[in-house]
Amino acid sequence: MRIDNEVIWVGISFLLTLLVFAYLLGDNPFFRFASALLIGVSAGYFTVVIIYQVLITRLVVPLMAGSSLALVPLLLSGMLLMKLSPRFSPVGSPVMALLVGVGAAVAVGGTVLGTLFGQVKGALSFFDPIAGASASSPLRIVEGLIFLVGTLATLAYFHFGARERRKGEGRSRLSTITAAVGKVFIAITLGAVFAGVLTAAITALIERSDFIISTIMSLVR
Amino acid sequence: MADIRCLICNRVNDSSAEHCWYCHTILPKPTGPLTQKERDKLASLKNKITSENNNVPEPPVEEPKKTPPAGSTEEEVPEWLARIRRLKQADELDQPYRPSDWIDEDQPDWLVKLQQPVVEETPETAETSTPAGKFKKPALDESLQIHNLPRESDDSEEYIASLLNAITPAASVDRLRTPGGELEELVENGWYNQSAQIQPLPVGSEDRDDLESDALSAGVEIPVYIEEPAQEPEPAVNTEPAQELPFPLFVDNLPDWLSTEETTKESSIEGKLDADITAGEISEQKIEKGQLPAWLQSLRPSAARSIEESASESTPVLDDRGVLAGIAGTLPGANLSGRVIKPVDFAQELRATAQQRKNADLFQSLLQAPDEPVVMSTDQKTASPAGRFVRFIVTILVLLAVILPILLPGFSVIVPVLFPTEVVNTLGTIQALSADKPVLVAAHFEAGLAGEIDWTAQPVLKQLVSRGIPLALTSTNVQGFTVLQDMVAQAIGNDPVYSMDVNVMNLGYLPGGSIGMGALVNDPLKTLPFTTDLQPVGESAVFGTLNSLSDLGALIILTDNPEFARIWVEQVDGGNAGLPILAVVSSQAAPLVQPYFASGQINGYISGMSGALFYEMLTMRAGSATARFNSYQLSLLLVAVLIFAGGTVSLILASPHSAKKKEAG
Amino acid sequence: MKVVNVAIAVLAGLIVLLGYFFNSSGLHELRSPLLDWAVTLSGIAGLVAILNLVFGVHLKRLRENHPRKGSSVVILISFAVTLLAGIFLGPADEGFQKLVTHVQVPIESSLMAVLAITLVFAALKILQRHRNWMGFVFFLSVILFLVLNSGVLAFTSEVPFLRDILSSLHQIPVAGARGILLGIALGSLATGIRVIIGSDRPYNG
Repeated sequence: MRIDNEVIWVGISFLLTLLVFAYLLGDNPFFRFASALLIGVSAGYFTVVIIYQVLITRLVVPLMAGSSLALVPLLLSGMLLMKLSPRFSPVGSPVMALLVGVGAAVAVGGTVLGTLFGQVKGALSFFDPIAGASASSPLRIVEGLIFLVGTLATLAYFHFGARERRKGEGRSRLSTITAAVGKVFIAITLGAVFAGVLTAAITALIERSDFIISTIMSLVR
Repeated sequence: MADIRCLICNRVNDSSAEHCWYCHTILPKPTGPLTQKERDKLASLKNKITSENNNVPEPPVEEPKKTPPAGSTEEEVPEWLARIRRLKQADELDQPYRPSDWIDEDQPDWLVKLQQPVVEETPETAETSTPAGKFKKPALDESLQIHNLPRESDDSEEYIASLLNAITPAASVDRLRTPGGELEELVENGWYNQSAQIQPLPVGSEDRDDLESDALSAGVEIPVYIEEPAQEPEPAVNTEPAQELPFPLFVDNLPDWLSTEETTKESSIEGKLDADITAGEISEQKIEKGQLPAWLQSLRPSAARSIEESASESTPVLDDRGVLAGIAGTLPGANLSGRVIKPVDFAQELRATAQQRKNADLFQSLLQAPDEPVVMSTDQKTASPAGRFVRFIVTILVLLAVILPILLPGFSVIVPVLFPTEVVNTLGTIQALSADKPVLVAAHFEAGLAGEIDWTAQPVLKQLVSRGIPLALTSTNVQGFTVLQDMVAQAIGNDPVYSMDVNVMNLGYLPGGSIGMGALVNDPLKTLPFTTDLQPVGESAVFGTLNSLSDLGALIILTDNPEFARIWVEQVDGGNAGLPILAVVSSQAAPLVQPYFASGQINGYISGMSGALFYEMLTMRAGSATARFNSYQLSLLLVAVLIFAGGTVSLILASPHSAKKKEAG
Repeated sequence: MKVVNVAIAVLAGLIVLLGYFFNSSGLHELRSPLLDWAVTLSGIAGLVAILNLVFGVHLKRLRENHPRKGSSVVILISFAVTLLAGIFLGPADEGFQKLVTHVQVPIESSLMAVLAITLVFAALKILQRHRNWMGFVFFLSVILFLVLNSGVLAFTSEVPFLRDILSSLHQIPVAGARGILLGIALGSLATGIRVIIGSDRPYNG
């Protein structure tokens, strides 16, 4: 009887799932084996993808196509590999500087144009007279006020003040009250996030349980 | 009395002070009027001098009891000194010794001998006297004038010759035989014998030194203690002449009892010297005590100093501190106790404030190389029995809530009927997409939540497939594009029209995170030029015309991380690509994606199994979300109840942490 | 050398940043290669990290006879097998992709499933560890959103007032999330500006 490859892979998945579920009984060598296997396979897969998706497609192929500009990333890649050696590590510093500089610029540009402008616009959209005219109920303005107060209070909690305060000099009363209100909103948001984490984990448990049961059912049948 | 000014540091000290408070040198004795005792002694001395001049024997004076020198006992007295005393006592028995003045009590013996009367020197003895005999002992405590030194003139050669001829060991042994018959073997140093035979020079000696006579005629004051009446008879012991001169070269600096001169001649010469000194020129008015500067006074030998100190009957200087404590006759050490500046106590430990230590610890933790990951102990046996029981119960309950609905298909649920706005908008956006324009599906999720993403994205993918919209797959993590391809393959299933090879292009891994997204927005073809099987994207009929993101129909983000959703939105929306953005997110990312939907930056999103359920209900395509929603709902409700119960119990019962803190406090 | 690094970072950052605000062809010509090289180098940096993990950590454990070398043996063997298979088959091969879909995904999903029970057990002790009003608000919020996510309250659709309340409850996290996002954005902005002006130099040493 020819065993389908899919059955073998499903069997492997099933076995590995059981090995990890054995952790519910306590730490054991099976669980550690599964963890080590995960690390090894992930590292190997990552290396293969880098070789194919970066080295070959972005370095080798352009060079073979005759692009002289492709020598620059090739040279920079060689310099970056020097980071593996403690002795020649400073050779890779200019490359790291390039990466850090470009990454910082991308982050700054996206933050300013994406989050800052967009979220401020979104916070004020509740009070847009044009949009307000089409709103169905005045509750929208109240909702907008609550959102605006919550946003400002949350920002007040993460105070970005740079001025050094003298000993004993605390925040002003208004600032303290606003920060306390911000704390409430943050607590609500973090509660929602934690509930989402629980939900995602439960969903993963359901999915794995469903897999085990369906596999057993298919094997039984 | 007036304060005393120190001669060294010029600081004023109390009149009763003996040492300067600052530099601790000996202060000069305040010179005040003479006491009655001092006057009496001076008067007796004067009488003695006058009687000596007149050769009138004076009535014997009681010999004052000789006090032993400071710090000396009978045990410490050297043998030669003891012998001298015995001889003296013997002489006194024969001839009472008349001490000339009060100073005799503390005078060294050699000085006492000087004061005793000397046998007149015979002319023969005077002629044959060695040049050494002409040696006059230098008077101690004179004002730096040594009068008794022989002149360096004609007699020098004869003097040296006589010294050399006089040295005979045998004679020295004979000379050592004391009157008492005791033989004292003084081997090399025959000069020991001289101490018993030293006699002062007789008065009126012709061998008086010219220098001395000049000094006397000039009115130089000579200390009283060396003035002796010349008429005192010499003791019988001194008859034996001393021929040997063991240390002729040091004669000048030696006292008489240490000198190597011939006893008779020397004693006669010295007696003459003393007689010359004491008689004649020394007048009563000129007798004064020597005024030495304090620094010189402090440098004087203890013997000389003791003479002066005996006048005041002060206790001798006895060093009570330092290395020489208890030893008499030493120079007093400076009292450095007040002068020593104690060095600043620099503690070994580093003095730092609490904030500095805190910053140093933080800095150290930052610099510290990351250690190997420590495997946390997962031994549940360390937990308390109650904890283990609770964990067991919770595990059983949750597994039952998950498994039972799966095993029991008839398990009913409360189906929600309120469709969230974001789900409705997602549906509307997808329905509005053009089938000509491909849709970029960008994934970034971990393999751990691949199951949830799969169940959540399936209805969306199925709708896209059903509409025949081409899909371009990419991921910003390594596993994403592979899992995404598998999802799409599941969504396609057995669709006869839509094929994986034609309608789906897997662009593979997009490295760099935000940099890659920015580069993709800048130039998509250049950023992702090849597919996973190394096929050029530009050669594709569907995607070859892709010059910018605006050529795409939409961007669908599949992620479990709100951070990457944010970055995608920032780069695409901030780049003004004009591209509809949809999101399929995990339940844990939904709260932080919601603001972007509220602000209109994304058109819609689906989160978790509930969102997938709503979408399936809207598209009327039942899927995994619909099939497993009962398990999902029951397990979530159970977890909510468990958390509520746990919180209630915690509120009612005391927490172990607070109890421990109270105990520690 | 450090001055050169700073100059590279500042220059590259300025060119890329200006491209966000000015649409100039010359700037585009300078910006595109920088972004392209940065993408390539990011991938190489990931490769450096993996090679360091494999050879710098686990191979070293084998050489030094570390007590936990058993797991290192498994890691190295699985790495070698995966690497060889991937080089010969390629990442697009379906068989090679099974390593991800049938090995990585099951293990990681199972780990997340086991984590669910641990998270539930930890959630029972919320008020035990944080007995203050902030912890109480958090506690109530978790319960509320678990119930909301479960869909049990969906029966309130017939009652308009309750429907609005339910909708509002669903929107409450937006205010706090927006504040958090703005805070993150401001922090990223400050950090990025410091790097672009050369004040922060994480690449030196």
